[in-house]
Parts: sequence; C-alpha cells; structure tokens
Amino acid sequence: MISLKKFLKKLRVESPKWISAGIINDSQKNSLLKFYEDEIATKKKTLSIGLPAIIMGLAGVLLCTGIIIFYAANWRSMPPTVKLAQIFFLIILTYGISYYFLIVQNSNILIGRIMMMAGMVSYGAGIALVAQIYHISAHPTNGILAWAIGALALSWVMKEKWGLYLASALFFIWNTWELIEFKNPNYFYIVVPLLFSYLFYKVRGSTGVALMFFAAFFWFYQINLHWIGQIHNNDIETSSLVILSLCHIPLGLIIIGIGWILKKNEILNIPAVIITVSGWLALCVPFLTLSWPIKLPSQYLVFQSGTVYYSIELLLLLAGVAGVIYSLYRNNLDVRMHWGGFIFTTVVCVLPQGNNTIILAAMHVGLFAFLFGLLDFYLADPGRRIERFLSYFLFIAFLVIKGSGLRIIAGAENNEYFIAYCIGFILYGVASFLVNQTVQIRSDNRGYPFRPNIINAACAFAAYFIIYTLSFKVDDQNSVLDAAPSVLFLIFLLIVSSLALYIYLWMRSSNKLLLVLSGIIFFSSSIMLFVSGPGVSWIVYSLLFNILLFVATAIFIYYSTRINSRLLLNFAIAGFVLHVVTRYFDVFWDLMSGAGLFIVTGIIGIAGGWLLEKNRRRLIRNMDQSLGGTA
Amino acid sequence: MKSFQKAAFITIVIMQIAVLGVMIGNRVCLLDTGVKVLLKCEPVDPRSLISGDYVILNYEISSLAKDIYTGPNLNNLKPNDTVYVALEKLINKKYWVAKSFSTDYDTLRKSYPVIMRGTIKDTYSTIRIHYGIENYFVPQNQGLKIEQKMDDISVEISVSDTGESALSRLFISDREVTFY
Repeated sequence: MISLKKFLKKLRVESPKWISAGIINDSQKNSLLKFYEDEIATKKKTLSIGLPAIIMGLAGVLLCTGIIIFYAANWRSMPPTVKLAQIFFLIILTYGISYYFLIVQNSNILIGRIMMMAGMVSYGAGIALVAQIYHISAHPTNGILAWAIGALALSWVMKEKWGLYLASALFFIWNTWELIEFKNPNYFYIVVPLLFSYLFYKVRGSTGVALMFFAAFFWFYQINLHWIGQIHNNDIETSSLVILSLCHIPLGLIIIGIGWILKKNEILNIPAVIITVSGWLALCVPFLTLSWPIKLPSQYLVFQSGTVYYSIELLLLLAGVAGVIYSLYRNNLDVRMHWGGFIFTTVVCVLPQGNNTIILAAMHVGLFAFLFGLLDFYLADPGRRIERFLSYFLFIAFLVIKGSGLRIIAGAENNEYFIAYCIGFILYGVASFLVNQTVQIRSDNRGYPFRPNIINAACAFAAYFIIYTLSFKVDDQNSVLDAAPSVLFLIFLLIVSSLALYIYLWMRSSNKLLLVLSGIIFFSSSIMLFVSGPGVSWIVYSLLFNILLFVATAIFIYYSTRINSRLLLNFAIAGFVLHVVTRYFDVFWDLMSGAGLFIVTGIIGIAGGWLLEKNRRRLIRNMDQSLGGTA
Repeated sequence: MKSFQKAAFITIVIMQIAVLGVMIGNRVCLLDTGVKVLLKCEPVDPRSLISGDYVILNYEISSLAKDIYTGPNLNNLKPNDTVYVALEKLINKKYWVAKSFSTDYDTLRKSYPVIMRGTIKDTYSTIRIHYGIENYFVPQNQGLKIEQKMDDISVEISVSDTGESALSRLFISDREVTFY
C-alpha cells in the first residue's frame, strides 16, 4: 500500500492520461486532486507538533538528566544533610509545581507534565543519593524497584504516558538486573507487561504496547531458559530444548492470532503489525532448529522424566491455540494456518519425536506445508500484506539458512558426505521451486495475483551456487547409502515428494518448459548423489559437476530468451564468466609465472569479454525484436 | 481534575518521600546503635551511573575458608544463599576477623556476639560473600587519588543485632578519610 502523498503524486501524473482516454473530464480531475490534497492537509494538521512543546520536552529531558548527574557527582563541598534536605525540597518543589499546573490551575499542562517527570526523576535521584551517602550496595535492584513503583503509581493516577515509559523501563532494568546478577527468574514479572499494556492502551500509547509485548516475550525466554539452566543432565537438557523449540509453533500461532485481532483496533493497529510479524518469526523457530540431523536421547521426549514442565507448557500453549482458533472464527478470520499448526504440533507430540528420522522428516514436511500455506492462503486477502511479504521473505530466508547450514556441515574438515549434503540442498531447492510452481497454478486458476519469479530466481541461484561449489576438487567420498538412516530417509522423502509434485504439475501446468529444465538439474543431481562413493576419482566429480554447471548456465540462458528476461540472461552470463575464470585459474595456475599469467589472462579476458558482450547484445536485440513483434 | 486524582497525587508524593525517609532512618538507626567493627580491605574504583564514583572494598572476611563453616551440609551452599558470619576481635589485634559462618543464625548467636548477614557470591575453593558494604561512594575523580595514596586501608562498620551492616567510616593508614 502506497502512502497518500505518493498516491497524489502518481494521480497528478496519471490523471491527464485519463482525460485523454476520455475516462474522466477536467473538472473531475480537479475534484479528485482537491479531495486528496485536502486529506493530506488534514492529516498534516493532526500530526503537527508545536515547536514550544518540542523545546519544553527537550528542556525536561535536560533538567532530569542534570538532576541525576548533579547528585551522581557526589559534590562533597556540601554536607550530606544539606544534600538530603535539598533533594526533599526538590521533590516537593517539582511535584508542587506539577500539582499546581495540572490540578489547581489546569493550564500549562505541558509544564505540569514536565515537572511531574522531573519529580519522578528527583525521587529516583533521592534513592541514589541515600544509597550514596550511606554506602548502600546490598541488593541495589531494590532501589530501582522502589523508583519504578513510585513512578508507576503517579503515572497511573495522572495518566502520564512518559511516566509510564520511565516506569516500564525501570521495571525492565530491575527485572534484567535481578535475572543476571541474582539469578532470580522473576516469575511474576509478566504482571508488569500485562499491566503496562493496559495502561499504555488507556493513554493511547501504541509504541508502549508494542514494547510491552517484547517485554512479555523476554519474560517467556527468561523463565524457560532459567528452567533449562537448572537442569544438570545433558539428555534432559536436550529433550527440554527440543520441546521448548516445538512450543514456538503454538506460541507463534497464538501471537499471530492476537496480532490479527488487535489489528482491528484503531489504537493498536501498529503494535498489531509488530506482534503479527513476531508471531510468524516465532513459528519458524522449530523449523530452523529441529530440521538438522541432531542426536536425541530417547524415542519419546514429551512427558518423560525431567521434561514434564515443558510438556505441560506445550499442552497449555496448544490449548491457547484452540482458544485463538475460536476467537478468530468468531471474528471471521482465516483459521487454516492455525488449524494446520495445531494438528501438526499434536501429531509431532504423538509420534516418537525423539527419533531422528521422524523429527527430521516431520520438520521438513511441516516446513514445506508452512511455506506453501503462507504463499497460498493469503493471496486474495487485501488485509494480509504482512503475510504476503513474509511468504517471499521467509521462503528465501529458509533457502539461505538451509543452504548456509548444509554448506557449513558439508565443508567441515574431512567430511566424507560433502557431495551428499550439497546435493541434499539442491533437492531442497528443487522441492521449494515445485511448491512455488504449485502455488502459481492454484493462483492462476483462482485469478489471484502472484509473482512466482522471485522465488524461482532464488531457487535457481541457490542451485547454481551449490553446483559451483561442487565443481572444485572434492576429497574421497563415502557412498550416500552409508549415511545415517535419518539422512537417507530425508533424501528419499525429498526425491519422492519432488517426483509426485512433478507429476502433479505436469498434468496441470500449461508451461512445461520450466518443469523440463528444472527436471534436468533434479535428475542429474539425484543420479550424481548415488554415483558418488569410495573409489570414484575426484576427476569424475569435477568433470560431472562442471558439465552440470555448463548445463545449468545453458538452461538459464535458454530460459531467459524464452521469457525475455534480461536479468536472468545477465545473471546466467555472469555465472558463465565466473565458471570459466574459476576453471582457468584452477588449471593453469601452476604452469605459468604470475606475471605471464595475468598478461595472458588480461588479453583473454578482453577478447572473451568482447565476444560475450557481442553475443549478449545480440541476444538482447533479439529479445527486443521479439517483444516488438509481439506488441 | 477529579478529587480522587488530587488525593492520590498527594498520597503518592508523600509515600515517595516516606520511602526515602525509611531508607535514611534505617541507616541512621543502624549506624547509631550497631556494634562498631573495624575491617581490613583492598580497594578499586569504578563508577555508578546514578550514584557516582565509588571504591569497591574487598574485605578479608569476603572470602571464607570452607573449614570454618559450622552449618548443615556445606555442599548445598549455592550463590545467592544467605549466610551469617561470626566476627571476633582478637586480643591485641586491631581488626575483626571471621571465626565461623553458617546458614543458621541462632546457633552462631549462642557462641558469638557479633554476627554479620551476607549473601554467597560463589562457592569455589573458598566461599565468597557479599555483605552489602562493598561500595564506598566518593566524590568524582577522588577514587583514583585515594587508591594511589593507600597502603593501608580499613573501614568501620556498624552491625545490628539481626546481622545487618552499614559502612560508617573509611580509614587510610588509620586516618579517617573525609571529603567535606
């Protein structure tokens, strides 16, 4: 959605065209422009902030900071008793002025509010001063708590938004200090964000509500991580972490549901966006953390010895999801993702989730279902812009994370499954591409807007990058058939589901070219996965993967001409140049002296560049002609 | 403005002043009535953002040997547990030293007149204890000067019947340090 200002700018450009086309007349154009100009002017007026208010606000900040610094300087030319008398006088003076303006006179409200803030800060300075004079250092958080309670009480009574910010910040400092310094999990701290959310809402402080949401999120982690810190058994700790990770699915769904419901509220619609995005990100946590080969202590983790608390937490969160589904249903909001997440988490709880193969397979199935749902469910809903943006963002983010993660595992020293991991990622990329194609077919059939090329390009780039890394010298490899059963099953699952999707898409899609071209990479990678193994020389891998890299480049160039995409063509040619240059240095580096090498490379580079540019231009010219012909 | 707000405003301000009053009263009472104890210490000087520069005082009684523990189950002691330390002034000696410590106040009290309450910081080879008298606030930029002059630093503290302690005076080479 564009801003009103941008819209007006566009309207000014477009409206003459509408007049020429006979859609509107000149007077209608002027009416339209005036309507939006007035709306912008009204909005500006509503949002305008007076300069005196800004100056007084900044002066208030300076005054409060000055008070703190003055007493922190510990100016001993003044005896402590005088200082104490002074701070009491300051508290009474600032609050007195505030009382006079806010309550007695009910005018100069801004000065009254600034003085109230100065009073709250003076009260804090008073606590610090007493600690300073009497050298009190036992449990310093108590002073912060006393300050926070004092600021809260007055802000609550006087509905002072900035006082609430001060008090909430002090409570947060108190909580974090208690947690870090005194290892206090502060179970009841959750009351603070809940209470402050209500208070901020009452004073229309939407930013405060958003901050309190993060404070509540922080509390969730401080409690859970504190519990995990109390466990001294590695197996129970691993099991607890797995269940905690799973908890993020219902937690994320609850947060998303709350965000969606709050979006309807005029005051909370901005925090609702932050809450919704956080919910979606929370939902990704188990797919990010549990979709790797990890060692788990037992077949079942839920409700085992030592994991009861986490299991109860998971159940409570699932119950919360049920409540959210009911609320969403009552509000006529989409519940498909919530049902999906609820069923998925319940199934994972019932299955032997401690089994490596089961959890790995479940997380990948869940991940693809999640990405499919995110892409597909919200296409037609104009109120789901966040979800549409996140569908592209998360799809690509998962490609990057899975690619980087698998590349790191594959690149580990003496890794005998380097090729298996890399091709595993190519299979993941192909599956992602096929999910994207499935969504495209569904969106075409329903007439919904969808831009498949963003994700297609990301998948193509990911596959190309991994094939490029495989085109270097690879050490001796083990057969993929010797890999862990969980890895083998996952590869099997990816291949079988990709094949099933290919068949489905082949039957439904009118554009089979993309399927054929991606199928070449899919089938050749799958074959190479099973060809690699002991006794196979690195030259064989190098030859095969270099051929595959050339094939991939050829596919991209060919497809770019078919869809008339200069971007793809430039990308493919850049990839080709990178490939040739890499191989050139690989082969000839040892045979030539450095100077000679660079001279020859330079000459060849210029000649090659000229040839490539000539061909690239020819291809682009052909595209332009083809486009012109079509037009 | 509602009359409730008027009353609440004044009540809250009075309560805030009362909080400061209680803090001050508690300290004044402790300093006046507590047993005066002289402790040996080693300082360094960081800064608190709201209370200014201070000298960290590390006492000989801040680190206690496990063999003087007289309470139940030494292995159960963990950080943030409250412990009580019995102090005794040796004959012909200037400083007070820790004779015993325990989690049980009453048992210690039967044998020793001065007991200090502390919190365990960590339990490695010795038990490190925090008493809440480790920070001595000084005027800005005075901490380093004090530290440079110091070859012999000690403090006088007041200890109440319940074990609470408060710093009263700082000495360098037996001379009290004053800033005004």
